Amino acid sequence: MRRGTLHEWANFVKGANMDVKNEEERFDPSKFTPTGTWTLLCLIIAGMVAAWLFLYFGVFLPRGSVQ
Amino acid sequence: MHIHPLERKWIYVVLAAIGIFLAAIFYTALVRNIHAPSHMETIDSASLHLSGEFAEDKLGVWTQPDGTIKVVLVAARYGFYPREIQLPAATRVTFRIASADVLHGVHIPMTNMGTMVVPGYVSEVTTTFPKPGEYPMLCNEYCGLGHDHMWSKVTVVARESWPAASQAQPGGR
Repeated sequence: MRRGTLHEWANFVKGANMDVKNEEERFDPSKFTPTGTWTLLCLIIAGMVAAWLFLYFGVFLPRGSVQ
Repeated sequence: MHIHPLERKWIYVVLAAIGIFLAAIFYTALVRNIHAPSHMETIDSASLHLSGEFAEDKLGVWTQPDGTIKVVLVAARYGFYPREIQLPAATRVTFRIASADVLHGVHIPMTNMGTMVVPGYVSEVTTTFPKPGEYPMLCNEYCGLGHDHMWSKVTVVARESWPAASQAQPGGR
């Protein structure tokens, strides 16, 4: 490994970082479609809705009215 | 005000969920006639066993002139009295329950019947049991060391068998 002064090292780091974009430039959420996340979300919501419908119409209501 | 399209979608999702839940509440209350028990009636817990509706000889199952059933129970550490009752299926049953001592709860698993029994108040719940069978009636409010032994038996018989069954139990009137 090449040994150098601290000044040389600082210039090297500065140069290496010149091409790196900032956080917003690198990742724009509005241009990204999270297909996997949406799929997972839809599966979970569909499961919860199905479970709720089963408990409400399949279990709760058939057990009779209560007042 | 600018709202990001993704945030706008989630607002619609939340509004739809709220709408579904409100519709379920209104459907349950208006169409299926299901309401949270809200009876308010006071009683002297210390003397309820001496006279009146909750005297020992008045406890049990009563058939009302309109064909509905009234069940009068006393909850006391550690049981519901009478300890066994029979009821008809598919018939309106009104439970009137008072506590002789501390806070109790009534729950009949596999049915919608459940309420708290607060000392000094009469709990009243009207329900129906769609299916015949044997059900435990449990205390679901911790009431002391014997709480886990506090249960009674409710036998629901078919409606056709009810007249005979009604005569063969405490308070079978």
